[in-house]
Amino acid sequence: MPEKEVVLTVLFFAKAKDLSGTVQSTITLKSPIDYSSLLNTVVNQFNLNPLRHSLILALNEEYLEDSQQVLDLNNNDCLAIIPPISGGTYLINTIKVPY
Amino acid sequence: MALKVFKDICNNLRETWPDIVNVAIYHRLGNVPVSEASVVIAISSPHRQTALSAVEHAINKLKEMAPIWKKEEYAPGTHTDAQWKENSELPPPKQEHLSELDPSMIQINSSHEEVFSNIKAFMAYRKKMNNKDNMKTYCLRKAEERPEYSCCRVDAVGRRVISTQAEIQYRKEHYDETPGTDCNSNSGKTKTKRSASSKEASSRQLIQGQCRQSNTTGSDSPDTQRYLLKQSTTTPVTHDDPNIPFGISERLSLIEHHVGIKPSGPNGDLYVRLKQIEDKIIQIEDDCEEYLRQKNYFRKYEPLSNLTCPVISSHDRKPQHVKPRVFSIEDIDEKLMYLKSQLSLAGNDDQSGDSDS
Repeated sequence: MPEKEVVLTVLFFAKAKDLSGTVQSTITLKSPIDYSSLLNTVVNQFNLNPLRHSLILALNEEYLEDSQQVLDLNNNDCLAIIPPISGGTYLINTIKVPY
Repeated sequence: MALKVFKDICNNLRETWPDIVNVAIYHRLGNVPVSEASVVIAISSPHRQTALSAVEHAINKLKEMAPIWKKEEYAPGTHTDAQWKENSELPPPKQEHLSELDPSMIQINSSHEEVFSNIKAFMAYRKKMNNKDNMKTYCLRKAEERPEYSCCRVDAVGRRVISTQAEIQYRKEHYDETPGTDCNSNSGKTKTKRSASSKEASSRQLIQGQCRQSNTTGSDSPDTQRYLLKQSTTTPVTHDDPNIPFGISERLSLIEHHVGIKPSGPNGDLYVRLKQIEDKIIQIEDDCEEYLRQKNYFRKYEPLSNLTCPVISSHDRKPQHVKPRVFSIEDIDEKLMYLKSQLSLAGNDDQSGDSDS
């Protein structure tokens, strides 16, 4: 796989948004790249160190589950920074419908 | 992406429960006032069991996977900043490449500052606990009586230790060469060089003397005798050496067994075995400070002036009642020197031309 430079769109959510001070940015990377290098680059460039050990990356709306994998990136790929998520509420009201 | 995750959840549900009819997942965005619901999951199925378990699975999966965040905002004046909340279902964070690390190393994921603040807090805690302990041990005051600027260094009260429950702590220094071991080993060696006849004769004398002595120290209470009897059945006691009476060999074996020396065998040189026992005593003394203190206490009140073997004539079998005594290494050395001189006298008598004596 030939080495090339790619420009990614980076999206920030929740706490990552607060830390980076922006919702969206771009980053120039060399592809292919392994997960930990990608994480390091993003964390260092966008000041995300407090989230270093809890954030997950999502590439093109897919979670990157495997931390060992080597990623083949393309221009305009979308990288999302996913801090610990908290969808919904803690109290779940299960409405029981009578049958 | 959230919608994509929802779709994944739906597909997953239908795979797991094929009889599901309809699935609806609705998640609210924007401001959600306190006490209002933010997510609705509705699933229909012919039987309620499917729907109920599917809903439970769906909400758990949603909380785990859907990239939706919640920021709690508090009323003004509560002095709490708005916070992003985290789920307990949060997926485990990605780990670094652990397998490449040396297994003897520790990997610390925390930041430098965190580690140092933890160490600092730990040290402070230990210091506080130590101070508290020391105050309790050395300052004979109640907590409320203590002045503010009191500490165990200026406020300590010494306690005399009489019983074995030592209250005062000591520093133990380790020396590679314990004073006394050299002397002992030398005397042991010189003795083994002696001629066989005189050696055995004197050893018998020595041990008989000790036996009598131990008889007189009250160790022959019925309990002890029973214990010894029981022990002798469990420990291998042989008496192959015809020159050593059975009783002595047995006692020696029992002593070795009791203090935890691996016996060099019943036929082993008596002096070697005695040396081993002496070494063990030295080791025990070094290890157990309480014992030393107790010994010193006894020494103060009962000086061991006469350490020679009590020579009891054969017809005088009546045991004397003597208070138990504790011997120090110096005492044992003294005794050994005495025996040595006796031995050389005996050697002179037996072999008048011996240049060694």
